[in-house]
Amino acid sequence: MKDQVPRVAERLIGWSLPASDRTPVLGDLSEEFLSRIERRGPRSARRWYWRQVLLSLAGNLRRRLTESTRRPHLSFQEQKPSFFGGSMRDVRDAVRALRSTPGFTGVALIVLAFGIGASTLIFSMVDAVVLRALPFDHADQIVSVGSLYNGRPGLETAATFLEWRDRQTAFESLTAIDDGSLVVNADTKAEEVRLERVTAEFFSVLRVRPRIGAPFTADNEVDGRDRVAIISDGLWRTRFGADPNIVGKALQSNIGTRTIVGVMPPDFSYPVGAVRPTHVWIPYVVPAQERQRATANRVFVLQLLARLKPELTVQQAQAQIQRITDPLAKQYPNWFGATGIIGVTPLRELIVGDVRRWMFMLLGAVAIVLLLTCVNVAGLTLVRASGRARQLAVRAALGASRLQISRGVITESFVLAGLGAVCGLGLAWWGTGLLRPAIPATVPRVSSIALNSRVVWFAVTATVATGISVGIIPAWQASRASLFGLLKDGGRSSTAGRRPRRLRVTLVVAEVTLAVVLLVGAGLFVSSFLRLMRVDVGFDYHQVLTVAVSAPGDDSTWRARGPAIATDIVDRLKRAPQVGAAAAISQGLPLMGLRHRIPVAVRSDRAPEREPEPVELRAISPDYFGALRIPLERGRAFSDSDRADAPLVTILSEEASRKYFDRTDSLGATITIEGRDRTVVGIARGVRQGGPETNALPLAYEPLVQSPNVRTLDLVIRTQRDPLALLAEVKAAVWAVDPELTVRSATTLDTLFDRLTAVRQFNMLLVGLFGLVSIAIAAAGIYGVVSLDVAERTHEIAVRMALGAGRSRVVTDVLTGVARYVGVGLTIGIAGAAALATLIKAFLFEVRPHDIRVYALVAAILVAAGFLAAWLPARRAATIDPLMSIKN
Amino acid sequence: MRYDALGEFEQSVLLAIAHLADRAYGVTIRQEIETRTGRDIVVGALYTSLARLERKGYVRSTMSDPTPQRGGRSKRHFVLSASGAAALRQSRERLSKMWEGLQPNLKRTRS
Repeated sequence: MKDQVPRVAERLIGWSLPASDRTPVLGDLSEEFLSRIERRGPRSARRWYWRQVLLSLAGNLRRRLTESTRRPHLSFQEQKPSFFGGSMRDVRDAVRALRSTPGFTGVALIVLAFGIGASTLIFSMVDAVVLRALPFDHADQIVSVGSLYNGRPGLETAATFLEWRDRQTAFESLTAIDDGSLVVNADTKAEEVRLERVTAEFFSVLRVRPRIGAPFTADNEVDGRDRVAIISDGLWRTRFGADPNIVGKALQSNIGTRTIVGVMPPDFSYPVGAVRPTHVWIPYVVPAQERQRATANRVFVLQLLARLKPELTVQQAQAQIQRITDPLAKQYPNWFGATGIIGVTPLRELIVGDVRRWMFMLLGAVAIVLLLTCVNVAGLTLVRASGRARQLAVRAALGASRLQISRGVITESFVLAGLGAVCGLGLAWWGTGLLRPAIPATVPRVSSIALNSRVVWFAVTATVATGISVGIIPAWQASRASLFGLLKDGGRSSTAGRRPRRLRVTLVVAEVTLAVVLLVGAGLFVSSFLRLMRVDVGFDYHQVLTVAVSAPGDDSTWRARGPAIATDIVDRLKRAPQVGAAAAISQGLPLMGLRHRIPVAVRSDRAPEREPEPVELRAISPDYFGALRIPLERGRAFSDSDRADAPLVTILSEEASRKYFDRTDSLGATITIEGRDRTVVGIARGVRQGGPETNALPLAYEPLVQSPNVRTLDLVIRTQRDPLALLAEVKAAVWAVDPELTVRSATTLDTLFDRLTAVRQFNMLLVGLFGLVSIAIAAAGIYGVVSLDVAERTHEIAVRMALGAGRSRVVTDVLTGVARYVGVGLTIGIAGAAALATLIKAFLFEVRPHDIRVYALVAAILVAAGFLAAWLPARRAATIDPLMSIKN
Repeated sequence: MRYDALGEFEQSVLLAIAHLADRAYGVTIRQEIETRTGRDIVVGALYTSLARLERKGYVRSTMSDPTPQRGGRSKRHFVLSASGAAALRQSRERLSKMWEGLQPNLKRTRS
């Protein structure tokens, strides 16, 4: 009906108006609405109506609230006795009551805002990282396929991919992805971006299409027809000014010129939510030689993704692919995982699996925080209720039913929780900005953390739960209050009776318990982190700049020129004023993990004869050990005299030496690395390649100039200043050697180390923060209850002092009381923490979940905090003037 | 007798009621002010102001019978009270005293 006033708007303004104005205002509005329809038509009239309503709302509400307080209250018996009737008045009363006790309201709001804010914030993280579905059509059908390594599908060889693609029937399509990087525009604005080589099925597996242009086809997977590229929306905007006629233009890069055939949609990102998103996709062409299963081609680089046929389960698909693979695995055992089991894992599981338990652990921790804030505010409400007991009694005397009184109390707690939620959401909104950059880079999908509607729903649910749990106990208690007891004696009644006091004490015990649990968690994480920091990784990673240097052209030219280039650069760097030491390494920096494993055969009369075993091999410049301060246990470092034409030499790490030579001395022995005999000239201290949490694995070094396989080159430069400030000088030195070289991935070893320890640091900071807050909250709870205790017992204490009790006796008495319930809370808390600690065992590092020192420290902190919190009220008790108190 | 100072909007409302005599209610008051001053008035603001004026005793209101084009709702009719008229006169006097010696363009007439 076009000529009807907008119902919602009418409701809204009717609700906002004071009752006395409702009829005339609604009448005025509808009269004018009708006349406007005639003059200007229904659309304009509706717009006018809404405008009137929206602009009037705030003023109306303000008037409604103030006018109703001005009017004398109706007696309680005139109200309908329903639980929900008259809720607006309850809210008004609640607001007024809360304003009358600003101290309580302020503390309660801060506590609630923190509780709700922190849990909302953590939920937003867990939601974005773990819970949300992947941004693809029917994303649950997308699976990763590959031989199982550590319980997840690993990378596969091209030969296996081809075989599977031809023979499988469980998937709609199967694609191979080869991750890499390329340098766009090898000119002044050169930029290294992530590159993915993908087969044509990539687009059908993920069900995405370029927003401009078309996806690759199988035709592109043939040598010669593969000179095409699809670029990301980001690259399209930054590099090509969002050119709408982009298709057919050229993309210049260090792998040659390619024709752009498409641009992906702006919200597309693969790997999902990657910190470093892919910007260029090019067709993956299976190298001709890799079609054969020859040892030299056993290269595991392909991630295989597939889309399940809708009628099949993951298990059925796994069974099928296993059936195809079993005969192959028997024939070529080295080409599949040790178990020969092929994993089919939903992509989401693959992305999220590692962090899911961790995220839920954090959510659990924050749930304890929320619970603690609820208990605390409930306790505060009880404390406050004792001050308002008379007010409630008067209400009851005027005829308010128990239902009405407890409804009032519940409403108050809801109003409080609601206000707390508003502040908490503000806190969470502010917090996401802080949290996002603090989350370790290994966590997926961090970029999508936001306060969306799901998160707000969570906050609303948390708020309602908080409102109920905060209000239920005080409401119950208020409804039981005995009229007679409260009103007699002029309300000066000595103690609030046993039951309310026991309730208050129970809540404080609960607070202490929860705080202990959080503090133990915090303590375990802090001590894990401290231990991690104390691990000796085998070299000094402070104050070291690293950059990767690469050259145009393919591997072979780099292999030929690499050693000479490296030597030149290092020589130049050493002459630069700020450089303390400089060296070059090929095949991967320490802390970067395992990179280059090569079988090494030992040929020595001192060592037992054995099969070649793999060892990590690194090619280094002579000053490498000095630059990274890796101590040489025995023998010598490489020197300039270890030239290409000099006798071939090697240095082993302690672990390698021990592995090949048991207890005998390896110095001077000969070993064979990649078919060349080398003499061991030194034993170096072991290095934890994968960071402080990994073991030092066998490592062999060879001089760069004697190495046949220099494929990558990293520089390490030690300085006394800020390492990154040195970058310009380093670039200058590199380009002085050859202006065509690319300098990239500039970082410091400190940064690499931080990245490896980021998860533990994050845990420590977050749970540590929770622990600190929890102890403050618990202390506030103790303070509140003890203060009230003392206030209620003023009379009793005065009498005792009049009878001769000393001040120290009074203080001791109060503190003993506190000690008793802190003690109970501590005991329960430690038991609970010990039970829960086993759940976080996986997140600890070299700390047992039941480390007695952590528990002792937590107990000491809590006792100290409890003592401090009780000290002020105890002092107050001691300064009671017996004469005055008894007279009053 | 001194009266509370009236705001500009309050004066407009009171003057509109005076203009409308016995036809003054929400819709007509709004229209009167709008046609005379071109000001767009929100119904909430008008009733807030009317409530305040009634509390001060400057206007009196009565409810009329319901009419169908108002969705069966009654009108609230407003009339100016004696003290309302006096307050208006006082405001005008104060203002005109301030204007004395100034031309409309705020140039002084003569010194």
